[in-house]
Amino acid sequence: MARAARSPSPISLLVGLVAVVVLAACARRAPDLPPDYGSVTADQALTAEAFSSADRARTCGDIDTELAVIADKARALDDGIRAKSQTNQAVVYIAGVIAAPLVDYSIEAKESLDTLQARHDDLISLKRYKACL
Amino acid sequence: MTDMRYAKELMAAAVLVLVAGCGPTWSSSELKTAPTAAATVTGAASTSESTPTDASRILVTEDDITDRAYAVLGDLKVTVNKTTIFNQDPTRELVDAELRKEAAKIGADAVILVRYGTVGISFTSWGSLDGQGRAIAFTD
Repeated sequence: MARAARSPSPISLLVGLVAVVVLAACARRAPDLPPDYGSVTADQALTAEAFSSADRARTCGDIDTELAVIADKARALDDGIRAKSQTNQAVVYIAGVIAAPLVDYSIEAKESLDTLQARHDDLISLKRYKACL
Repeated sequence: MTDMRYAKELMAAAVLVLVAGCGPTWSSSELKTAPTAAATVTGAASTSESTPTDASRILVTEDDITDRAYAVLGDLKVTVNKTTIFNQDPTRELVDAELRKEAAKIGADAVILVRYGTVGISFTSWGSLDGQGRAIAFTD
């Protein structure tokens, strides 16, 4: 006998909403580590093809300068997210899941941090490729 | 009535003990050992053959180390959580300390390529911050 399609129960909706709020308001995970290309047992070697011609033309000093800029930007974004964290916790603690619209998710800032980390990793590998000290 | 009062006092005392017994943060960690770690450390850095090192002497850096040869011991992942909503959010310094502690257990000299998450609510804490890094031992 065919069963009528059931709509989700209020409890499952609530659980889902809590999960969405927690997952979105929440901690961004640290990006994964890059492959090992620097150890004595590294199974991957860096080749010229791994870098753009513009990057290959950069000096070690240029790379360090860009790494410093990335570090400053990342620090500013992280400080911004950290400043909002306490407020988010208080909002969710007091108002629960209905506070979802009031939570500052900082999604763009978190995406920017991921982009900056990816560039940081590229530059670190470029430094090794160019044998910068 | 008296029983109820005792029960409440007992509950309050239990909560007090629980909260007082906990530090401001607690942490968890995970180690993915490099497949070649044991052989490499044994062969090239025999002095540090999985002997725990002094955590305070372990270098923790977001960069690679290019001026010394090293072997990878494993990839570390740690998470620092604040115990209650009233504690301060965990910091990168606390993540570094946790990375040092875990790296020391496997005899590492440094943790390189360190990266951090951002602090926020997790399923187990009102404030969590994680970090990852590669534990290495110098071979020269």
